[in-house]
Amino acid sequence: MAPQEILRFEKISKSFGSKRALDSVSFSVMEGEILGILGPNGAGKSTMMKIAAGTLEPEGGSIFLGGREMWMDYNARRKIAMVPQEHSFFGELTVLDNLIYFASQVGAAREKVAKYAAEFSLGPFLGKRAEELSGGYKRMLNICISLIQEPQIIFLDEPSVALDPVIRSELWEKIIELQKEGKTICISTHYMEEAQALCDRVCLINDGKIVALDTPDNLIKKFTISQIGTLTLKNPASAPLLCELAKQMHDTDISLNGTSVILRYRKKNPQLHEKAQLCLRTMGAEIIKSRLREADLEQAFINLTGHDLKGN
Amino acid sequence: MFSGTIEGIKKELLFVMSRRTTLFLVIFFPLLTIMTFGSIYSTTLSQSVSMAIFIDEGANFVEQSATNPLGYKVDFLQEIAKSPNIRIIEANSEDEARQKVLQNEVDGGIVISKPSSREPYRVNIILDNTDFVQAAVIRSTAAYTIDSLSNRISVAIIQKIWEKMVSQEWKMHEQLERVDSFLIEFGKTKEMTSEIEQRAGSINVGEIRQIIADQNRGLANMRSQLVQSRASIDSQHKLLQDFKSTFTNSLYMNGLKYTDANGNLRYTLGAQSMEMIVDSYIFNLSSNVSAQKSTYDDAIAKMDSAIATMGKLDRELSDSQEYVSSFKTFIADAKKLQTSIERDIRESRAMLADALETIRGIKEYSPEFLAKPATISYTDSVKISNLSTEFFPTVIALVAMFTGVLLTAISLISEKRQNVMARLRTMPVSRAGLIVQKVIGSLAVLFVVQLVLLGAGIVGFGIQLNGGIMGTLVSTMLISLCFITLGLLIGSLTSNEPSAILATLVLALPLIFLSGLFVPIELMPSGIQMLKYLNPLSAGSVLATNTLIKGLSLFYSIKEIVCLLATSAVSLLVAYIKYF
Repeated sequence: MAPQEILRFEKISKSFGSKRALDSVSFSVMEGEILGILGPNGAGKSTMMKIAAGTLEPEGGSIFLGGREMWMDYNARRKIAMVPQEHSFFGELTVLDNLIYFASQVGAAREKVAKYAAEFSLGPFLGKRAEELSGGYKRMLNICISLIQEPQIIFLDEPSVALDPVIRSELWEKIIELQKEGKTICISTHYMEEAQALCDRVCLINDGKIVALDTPDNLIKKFTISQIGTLTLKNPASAPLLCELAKQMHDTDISLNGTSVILRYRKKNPQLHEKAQLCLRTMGAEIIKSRLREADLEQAFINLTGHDLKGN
Repeated sequence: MFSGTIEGIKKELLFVMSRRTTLFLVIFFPLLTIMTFGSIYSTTLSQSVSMAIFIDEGANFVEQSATNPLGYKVDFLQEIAKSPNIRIIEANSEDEARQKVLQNEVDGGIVISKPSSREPYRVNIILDNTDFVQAAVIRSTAAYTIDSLSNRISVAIIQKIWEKMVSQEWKMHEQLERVDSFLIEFGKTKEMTSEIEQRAGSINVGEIRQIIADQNRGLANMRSQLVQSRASIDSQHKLLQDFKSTFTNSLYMNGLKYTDANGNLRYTLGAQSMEMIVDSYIFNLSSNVSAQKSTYDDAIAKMDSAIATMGKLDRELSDSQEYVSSFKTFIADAKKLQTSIERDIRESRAMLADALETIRGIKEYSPEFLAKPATISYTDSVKISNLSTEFFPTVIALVAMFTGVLLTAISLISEKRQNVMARLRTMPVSRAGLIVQKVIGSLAVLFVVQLVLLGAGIVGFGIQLNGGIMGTLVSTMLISLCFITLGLLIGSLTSNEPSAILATLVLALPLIFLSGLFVPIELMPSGIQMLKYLNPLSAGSVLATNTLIKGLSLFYSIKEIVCLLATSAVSLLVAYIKYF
């Protein structure tokens, strides 16, 4: 059975002063999917989430929840939960007091407090002040609080920012478990690997506009035809060296990231990478590490927008 | 909903209790405030003020003398020392006294001088007018002491005047007895004359001569008595006139009546009313005595005429027997004359009795009354033993203001800073419900604060509460509610702690200045005085005074309750709109 549309943004616009944060954005979220919203800082991801969560009023357009305009749905707030990027709880209260407080505000049963605390590995910390938790567990508590109201749709704003790999991996597992429970999840992120690992579909957003929306595989297939090579040098590459390299390497975009030279090959040809290494060595550069990989979402994003997720 | 409210209240309490410093300050702030106010004001009523006192040479003594028989000896320093409210620091000059006040060595100064014996004492009270509260205390304490002292002097002088006047009573009483005795004897003479008249047809010449001799002796005797009485009245008249001049002179000599630099007649204290009373009595007595003198003069003249008539008759009878028949006519005339004299004397007696009553009337006035016809007394409508009780309602309102506004505003700001407000905004929660939770939670905190305040006030400083538990509870909760909602207002309109604290000060300072804590509202311009009806701090203070201290029901504080509720309603409305 084909998935049903649960949420639809239709021509949503929002400006902050002269800056157009969202420009007539339209897209749908399907029931039970994990939708990634990918874009650089300032692209409009958080604005989109805040509008969906009801904390920002759009200037134009509508949001439909289950086919009805969201403002007409009395229970919309109950159906949609927002997990803000920032920690949003009482630091001076214990984990348990926080969970009980928010549960009581949304009319949730106390049993759910224990259930979600256990699910998000917060059981051992219930008596601890929230401000004393580690960053990872603070993030867990942040998500846990939003889930207590048992929403159908969960918006996670940059959930894995500043998390160590272990906790990030644990968090991803929880997100996948939530999807298995039937929740629809929208994740805003600027981590490509997060989007590729978790999302069923990815919405690429740039300057307040959706530039593409599809599965990660399709996006890569549609918008990238090449490979990425990374050559890490012992010493930073000089400008004349890069100029000389660019002259010799056709169909290749060259950029510098620290001591690494990033080469984006427009044609899939492993010999191009060999040629680049040879050129650099000929010009006296000492290569300490070489890596060649298939193109990813970021490459698709670059191909679509002309810059990467950091705006370079 | 109910569970949410309970958890909301619990969260507000935990917000305060989770930080030891916050909890300590919440308890310590009311304690510190009551300790400060209590220590400052608890003993003020029994404290004395220090005064630099300089008595100018010559001001101390007004000796009794021939020209000033009512002179009174005054030792001002000794007299002022009797006052329990003034601690004397002697100064050697007026300038030194002023310097001592200027340099804060003393609270105030008193300089007493008497430019001349015919001028009144001049009392100059030196005030430190940079502290008008202290100046007001000094002004009233010094003025009260000097007024009491002046009154004591005045009473002493008037006592002497009074005693002199009252001493006339006995003399008049003696005079009255003399007149009564005269009238008895005169009555006997009249009876004798009547007997003679009845026997006039059968009486012989020898008997007539004997009768006339007896009559003449009797008349001479009575004339002598009349003359004596007349002299006594005359002496009384002179005494009254002397007394009048002595009294007036005494007023001058004691500085109670004087002529100022512009030549105008001036009086001090009750001297003018005293002089009017004395003048009025002396005038009445003098008129009375003058009338008596005139009556006596008439009576004596008539007596002389009667004696002359008797003499003439006696001579004519010795010359001719034929005048015997005319004896009847003489007797009849003599009878008429006697009746006339008796009427005069009785009239005089009546006047004398009236004068005696007048003198007795003076006795009804005490010297204290004559010296100071009106006295002022002060009655407290509420029995309170110290000023701490008087200031306690203000403390309650002040503590409620700072605790209520700051705790609520900071709690709200803390929620904003921790992004809790942003989260709550995305959740299916009611804004009104959140506000109600915050208000009730903060009320619970302030209830504890007020309990601490009441407990410390009653146990530590003997604050006397005359209100019932319900009145106390309702009024303190109304005050707390008002300032909590103002805290919500500030918390809703500001985004961080410093701006919330500054906004609280911007709100609090005008409220404090307009509350009458530093400057009594009655001293402010009338336009500004009207602001007290809009000032929740004044309203809270008055409400607490009415219910806690005076023990009045809430009905008597309708205006204040309306002010507090209106402020709460407006604050809540704005807070509701700006909450998220």
